[in-house]
Amino acid sequence: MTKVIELKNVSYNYGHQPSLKNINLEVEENDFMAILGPNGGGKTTLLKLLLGFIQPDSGEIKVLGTSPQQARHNIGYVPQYAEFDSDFPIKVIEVVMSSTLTTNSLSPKYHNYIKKRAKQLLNKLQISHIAEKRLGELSGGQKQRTLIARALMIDPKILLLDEPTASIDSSIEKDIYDILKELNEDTTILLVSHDIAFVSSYVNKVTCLNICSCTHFTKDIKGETLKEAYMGSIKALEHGCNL
Amino acid sequence: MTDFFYSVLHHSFLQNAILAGILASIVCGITGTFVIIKRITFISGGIAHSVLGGVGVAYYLGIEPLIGAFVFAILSAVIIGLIKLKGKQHEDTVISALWAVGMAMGVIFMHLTPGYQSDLMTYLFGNILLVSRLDLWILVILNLIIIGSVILLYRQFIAISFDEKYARISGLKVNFLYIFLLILIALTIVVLIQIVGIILVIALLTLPAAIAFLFGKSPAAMMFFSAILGIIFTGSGIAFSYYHNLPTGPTIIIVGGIAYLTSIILKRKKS
Repeated sequence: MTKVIELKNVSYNYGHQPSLKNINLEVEENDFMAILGPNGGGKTTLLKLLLGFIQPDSGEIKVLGTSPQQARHNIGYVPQYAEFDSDFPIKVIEVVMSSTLTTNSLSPKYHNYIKKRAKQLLNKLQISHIAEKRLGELSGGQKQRTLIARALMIDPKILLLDEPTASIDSSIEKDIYDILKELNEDTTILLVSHDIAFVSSYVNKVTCLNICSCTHFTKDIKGETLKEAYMGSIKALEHGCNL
Repeated sequence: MTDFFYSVLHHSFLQNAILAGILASIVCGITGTFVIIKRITFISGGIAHSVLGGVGVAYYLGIEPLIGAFVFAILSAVIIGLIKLKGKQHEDTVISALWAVGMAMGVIFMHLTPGYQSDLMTYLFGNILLVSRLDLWILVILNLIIIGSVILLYRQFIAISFDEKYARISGLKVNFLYIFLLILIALTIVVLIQIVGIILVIALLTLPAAIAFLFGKSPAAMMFFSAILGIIFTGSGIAFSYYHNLPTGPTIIIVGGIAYLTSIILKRKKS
């Protein structure tokens, strides 16, 4: 198995406060990994590092064998939809197509083949009927699917998702994970979540992150144990990290 | 109403004013749309007020005030843009400082230049009835620059307005695009200052686009509607002020303000 993401002894501090300490993480091709941890455990920092928005204070990060910044065009990033201005006048299909833009594509319109590809993806995600709707008119699940479609437009090798089911109805949660499971057949998926119960039945690896990290294979842990650890005490998640 | 049209036919200053209103409304609709969807009204306010500094310095040095205005507007657009992108300082503090220091410089330099005190009022409140042929040509050129740039970079400007972080990930030159957009807004502001003045310019820039934002389905539709609205506001403002012998700039703004208030009420009733 090839390693698509590799972190060696990565540390990052906000001021004097460590956000991540000596993180070692390996994601292999076609993994479906969840990074779980409490708020303030460094999940967002890890995402920023993987996208190359910030540099680690020490340690090394390799994405697809190169630096995160150089690997960006192979990463499909799916942010939390709640970050968006829901009044923004943009249609679903335009959101999806926008990830193919470059600075010098000087025309107000998209090529037909891009439009066709976007429609295919909307079809795949079962939201082709809302292609012409404004983003603000959609439900949470539909918005999330739109953002996944946008990420898929560039045929990414890695899909990186930030809390894909945060603020989504739990009945729709399953649909989103089913879609991800299907996409996992040819894409490596890494998602960040604090919602533990659901995720463990879909992913093959779980990394617990609370400033330091520890990776488990899902087949080795029972959902219940993980749930207890998470609900019970944060200490149990620290895996002996001396902080 | 008929005698207003009669007057327009017979007075070239009214014709110029109406033409200037149309040309200004077009650029205003285009860049105002970005100001609204990117929520950068405060930045635009900072740019507008710093312009007085440029006008003051130009008077003092004896050069064309419009040149001073352009230089200061573009400078403050670049400064504000860099500060926002680098994020090292509090953006709102820097904008407020530029805002006030620009105005202070303007007042001091105008004070130091004898005989131009009355022009201060023109720059603060504008006077569309004083628009010259040359001003109209400058407006035409600016229209071409702004329309051309926005046609070419429409999707990119939308992308950085909608999701700056994602635009950066997908490889767009966000810093360049953002500063370029601010420069286009700065150019629009200088043009609008001729018409309604520094104090009122933000209202003319944002009111039509804010109304279009309530009903528009896409940024392009917003641009079109706000340009039309701008033309209606300036046209009816000129006519009303001409009839009742009121200052034109403020009359235009009051018309826009009433329209905005009405459309908010209509929108609330609808939903």
